Amino acid sequence: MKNNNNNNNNNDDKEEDEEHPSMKLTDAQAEMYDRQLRVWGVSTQLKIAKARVLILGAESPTLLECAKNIVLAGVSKVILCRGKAKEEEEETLSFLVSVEDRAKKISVAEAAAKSLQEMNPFGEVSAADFKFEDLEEDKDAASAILGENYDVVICCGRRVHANTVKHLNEVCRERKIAFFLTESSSNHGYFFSDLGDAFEFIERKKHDSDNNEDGKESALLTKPFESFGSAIQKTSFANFKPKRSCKFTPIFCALKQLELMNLKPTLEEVREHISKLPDGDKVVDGVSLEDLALFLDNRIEMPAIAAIVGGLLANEVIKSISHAEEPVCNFFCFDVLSGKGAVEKLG
Amino acid sequence: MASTTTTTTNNNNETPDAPLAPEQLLFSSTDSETLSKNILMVGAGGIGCELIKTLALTGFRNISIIDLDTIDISNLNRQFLFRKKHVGMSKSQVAKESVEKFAGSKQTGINIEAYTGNIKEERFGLDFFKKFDIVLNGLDNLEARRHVNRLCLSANVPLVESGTTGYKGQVTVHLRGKYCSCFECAPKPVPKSFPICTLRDTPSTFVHTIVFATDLLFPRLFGANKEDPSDLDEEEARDAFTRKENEAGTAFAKRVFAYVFEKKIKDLLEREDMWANRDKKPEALDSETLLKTKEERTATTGYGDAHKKWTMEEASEIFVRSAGKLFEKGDRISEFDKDDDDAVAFVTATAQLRCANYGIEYMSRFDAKGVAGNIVHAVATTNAIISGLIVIEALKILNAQKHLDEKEEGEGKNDRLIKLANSRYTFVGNFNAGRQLLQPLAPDEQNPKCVVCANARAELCCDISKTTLADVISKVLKKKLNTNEPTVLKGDDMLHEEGEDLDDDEVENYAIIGKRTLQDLGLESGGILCVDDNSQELKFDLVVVHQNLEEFDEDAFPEGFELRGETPKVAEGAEKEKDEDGAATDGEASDEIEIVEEGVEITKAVESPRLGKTKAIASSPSPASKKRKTK
Repeated sequence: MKNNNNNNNNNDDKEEDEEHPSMKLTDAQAEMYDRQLRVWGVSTQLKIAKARVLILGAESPTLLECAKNIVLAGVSKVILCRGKAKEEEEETLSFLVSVEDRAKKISVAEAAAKSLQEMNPFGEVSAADFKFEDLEEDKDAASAILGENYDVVICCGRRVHANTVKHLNEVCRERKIAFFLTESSSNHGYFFSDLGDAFEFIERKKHDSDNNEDGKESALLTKPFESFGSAIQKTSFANFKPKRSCKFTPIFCALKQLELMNLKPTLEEVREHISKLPDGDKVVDGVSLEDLALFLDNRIEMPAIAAIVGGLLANEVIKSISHAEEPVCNFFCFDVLSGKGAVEKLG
Repeated sequence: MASTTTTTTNNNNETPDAPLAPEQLLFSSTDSETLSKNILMVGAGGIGCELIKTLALTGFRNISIIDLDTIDISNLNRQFLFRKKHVGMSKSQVAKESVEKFAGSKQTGINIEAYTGNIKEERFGLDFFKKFDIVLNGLDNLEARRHVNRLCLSANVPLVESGTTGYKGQVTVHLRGKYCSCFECAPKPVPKSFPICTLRDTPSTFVHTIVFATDLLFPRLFGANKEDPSDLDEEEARDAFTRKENEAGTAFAKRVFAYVFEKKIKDLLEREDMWANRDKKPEALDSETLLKTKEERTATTGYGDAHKKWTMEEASEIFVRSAGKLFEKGDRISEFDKDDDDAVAFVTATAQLRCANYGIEYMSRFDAKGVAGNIVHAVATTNAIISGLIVIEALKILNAQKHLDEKEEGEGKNDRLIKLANSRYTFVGNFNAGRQLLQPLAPDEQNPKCVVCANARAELCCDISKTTLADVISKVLKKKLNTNEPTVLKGDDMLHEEGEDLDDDEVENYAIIGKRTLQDLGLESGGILCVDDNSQELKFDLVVVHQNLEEFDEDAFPEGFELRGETPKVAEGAEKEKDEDGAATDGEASDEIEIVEEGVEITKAVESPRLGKTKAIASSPSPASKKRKTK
């Protein structure tokens, strides 16, 4: 992986935590992080400060929103990878790319890394390159991409083949890396997460200090997750309840099922596939061809949806690092028109 | 409007009030007409930074942003448009410059107007509000929220209101109309106050000890008005709290220590009646031992790790040392300031020592600062999510407006707008098993008891023989009802006016009237005061009901009065009980979402403010709409 990193401006901090495993926050960090320390406490902040996050497909506005949130939270290292050739990048406005950088035709990932580095000098943000396409056929290529030791991998789902996602997720599982997949369009947004077979977290009842001292019980709980490939393949369409599910979730699953059969399905094929499934006609009913088309060739991420999904996803990333709150297991979908943000279990 | 031509086969044609199709509401967001609308953003803080970014990315071109604040280092963990080099600069100005850096005015034609100032200033009055197509709030205090709500109602501009605390947040939409509530239709959490005697003699929570320190002891020793009578001044206290001539600050602090944590507690213990019905008696500290042990450690500086609790010896030493520092600052201190480390250390030490007196569990300096300074905990993610939801609601309203009949007037038009737009209230919350991350609800209907938008009357229950007009103006009209410059009439008699254009003798005259009790002014129980505030275009009647001061429950109404919206004639009886404490009238479990808003002063309460959907009985026709006075 080609690494264009030249932002190594905080070796001091890093040396400090390597020398002292029970590191402390510096005064400068305590000052800047004060308001969030009041949300998640010092021990979570220290865990965040050690975490390394790899972002694949940094041209996606949703991933950039998410990246901004976790950089502000204070992660140790973020690498933004662009997954598409520069020519393929759309001319969308990004809040992390300045007018000058856009004029200079610097890639979004590189420009964003620079902006994010300015946003939080305590972490290290850099940019790199790879191609999603290379990973479609080849799990070893996915393994090579994830060469370094990361704690979290966040992958863009927009126009990325399910086989690529499956390969990346499998490698993450083997290396005990938290894996997230996300995508937004002009009418919906989703994320999928796999935190391993037995994700442990502490559930604090009544975290809020509102209800006096007695509310501080906590319990260590375990949650099983599934890999992308197995969750998608095992999904039964009969389980979707129109009232509770988001109407886009079945389409997502059907499309990804077809892709995992090594297909590049057309709109009609996806529609046909769904209608053949048990209860499939019900699913197809509520979905227009336009909705389907957006899934197959999604070119617009609505900024408002990107902000919502990127924010919710960043919360999940923090939870995967802190083990201090109940994580979403394992799929979330937001439908802009109904306003519903539904959590569902795939697989 | 490219996309609206293809699919408009929605049921919009059959029923006029059905929501518009998604294409019309949202995908036409690239529509140049919608994107050129004038947007007013109030607040450039946590929500504001995210919101102006999301608006600019969506393509909105005409944005005005107001904030009175300057940038602080503790903003930088979430207000991502600001950098360390911007600390001390105007939030709205820097936000404008940062957005122009990526959405540069040449390419996209973005035009951001930044104002540094308080939204309550006269220049931001009704005429200013009328220039905008929609107002988006990202505020941190209830007072400003209420003020903006009133001006939006008067100017008939849609308001999208928002708030966040920690992982929680909400977005709501407000318009004047029967099927849309205004921001003030539902009761709002207000900072709780505590009876003085609880704070002084019988504290039972950590918050009590903090409020004792910030609101009683701190002002008595260091405040701007430390010479004024204080609630701490019992017989012998006056000596204990008065610094002798040439007395060193630390020596005085030790005398205060010995009095507050030892002598006063011993005195209280002698009042046996006080403890007869209580589980626990307080314990006096041994001030001599606690203070002596630290004599050698005079070289100590700093207050240690903010997250570590102090030992009793440390707390005692820090009480004296921080007080010494505060005395040195002298007149530079006016009141407790959470950004003054010495003040925070003093308050933390005081609270800890009081906790030791009363057997209460105490907290670290970091936590004590949060409670004492009303610090709202905040993360970037919630603000980002909320900004997206605000933009969606704004797009829906602005796109739906184009489908309204231009000739249509009045409240019915707003009712139609909110339906066409498919407006929603959305709540963002912590994920717990079974709970969704985003919860959309239908907008509330107008509360017929709302003083602000439904022309309802407010009812003040107080002792008319003891309450003066000045009390009503400062404690009720300003503090509770958030009026700015109220005018008060009784019948045709002008009792009170304020503002810069008054003559000196008028001011003097009103001051004299103000000192008279309501009874003196000829008001009887059930009498009416007419209140009018031109700066907010607000006018309402205040019905005064008498109740003897002794009959007020001190814990529930420490201020000695009760304010409530008048119960409509139809619903008298059944509804009244529930509404008096401002609780939700609707017990549906799905509405049990805690709403806490960025910066709403909740500390003194540390009580989770709840707001349910108020489904008030609306069987009566909406009150005849009085014509609002326009300047």
